[in-house]
Amino acid sequence: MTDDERLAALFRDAASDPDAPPPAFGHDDVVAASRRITARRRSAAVAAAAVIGLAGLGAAIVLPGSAEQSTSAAAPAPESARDASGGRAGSAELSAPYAADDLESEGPGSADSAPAPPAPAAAPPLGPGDGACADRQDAGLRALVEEVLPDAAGAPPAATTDVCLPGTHRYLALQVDPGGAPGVLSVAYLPPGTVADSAPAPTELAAPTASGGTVLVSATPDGPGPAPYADRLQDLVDHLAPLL
Amino acid sequence: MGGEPDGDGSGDVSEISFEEFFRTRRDALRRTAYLLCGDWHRADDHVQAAFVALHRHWRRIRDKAALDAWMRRTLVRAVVDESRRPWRRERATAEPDDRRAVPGAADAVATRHVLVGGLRSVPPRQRAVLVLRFLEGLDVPATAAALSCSEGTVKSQTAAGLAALRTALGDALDDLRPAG
Repeated sequence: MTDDERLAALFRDAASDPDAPPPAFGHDDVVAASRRITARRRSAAVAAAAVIGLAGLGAAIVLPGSAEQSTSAAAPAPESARDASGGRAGSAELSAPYAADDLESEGPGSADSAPAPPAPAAAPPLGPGDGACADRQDAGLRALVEEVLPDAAGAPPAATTDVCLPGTHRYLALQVDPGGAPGVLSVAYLPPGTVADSAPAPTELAAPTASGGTVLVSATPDGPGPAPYADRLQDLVDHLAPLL
Repeated sequence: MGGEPDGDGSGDVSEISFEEFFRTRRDALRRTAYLLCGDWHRADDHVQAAFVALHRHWRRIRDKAALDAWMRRTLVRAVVDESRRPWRRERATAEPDDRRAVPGAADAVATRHVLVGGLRSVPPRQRAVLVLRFLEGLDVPATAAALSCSEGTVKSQTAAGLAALRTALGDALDDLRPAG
């Protein structure tokens, strides 16, 4: 028996533990969880659309005739960029309610039709979450990410575990495929006092946030190709840091 | 969504094929996940999450032959990703890693526990290389593809992983040698 064969036998034996507990899930559990996630994503899309619509309405009320007002000086650069991208914000109220239910069915790339999501310039940072366990698909975080990466609007959630993480964290993992570079885009918000003690991966960026926490962004390619959004991660971090 | 039947019945067929894949692959994937993370409960979490993600895309997957590779890659990524996150470290496993305190035990159960305990002290990516190569039986190119790295990296990680495992196990399994 060669060394490799001996090792293989050891590994097989170690994995074939007769004392292993029975599987904690079955086919029905998987299907139910899958449907639950889809329903939750649809709800999140509806909620995000509602927030966007309300924000647009608020902007229209607070800044009537904003085109001729020099209000951009009070807004941080990303906000100015959003304003520049859309009279959409002002017109959102006129076109709403748009078909939020269809957001999920829109594939990546079709999200240009989604309204630019203008958070009010004076909005406080999102800050720590408040649940018992962190939502692995944080809707608020997703809405902010999609402001920078609108083509990620239809991206499905990436596989994560159900392990309960501290509810003050925010987490988002998307299976994305921008321009034929499929992979996982991960965004994590760590609340103040939490230190990322692991060395960042080559495609991971970190920055302190407005609430005193830390935002981590990473992209992992599915294959040997480039990481998705590799050239836009810095923009994403720069955008998220003042909003979290 | 993948789980909702179509009016033409293709949804039912799709569900049946998914269920068949699930039934035939679940246990093997559980074993792989177990060696990757060292805990049956977390292994169940990872495998279930991977199956849920798969189910959501099931109808759109054309290359069913690539499913095993996709599941393998998803599992490895989930385990490695979780292990390197700060919160994972904050919430380290509740089970004390005392299985390495059984060196020298000769029976199969002790050997099994010694190896699993030793693997837990091997860095996650090196551990993934060892599991894919020696449990899944992948060769170097297939392992490199699964981990999205070069074949040279697989070879060096194999050697480093075996060295780390040998260090962790002490004399318990002292005939482990780097393979490459």
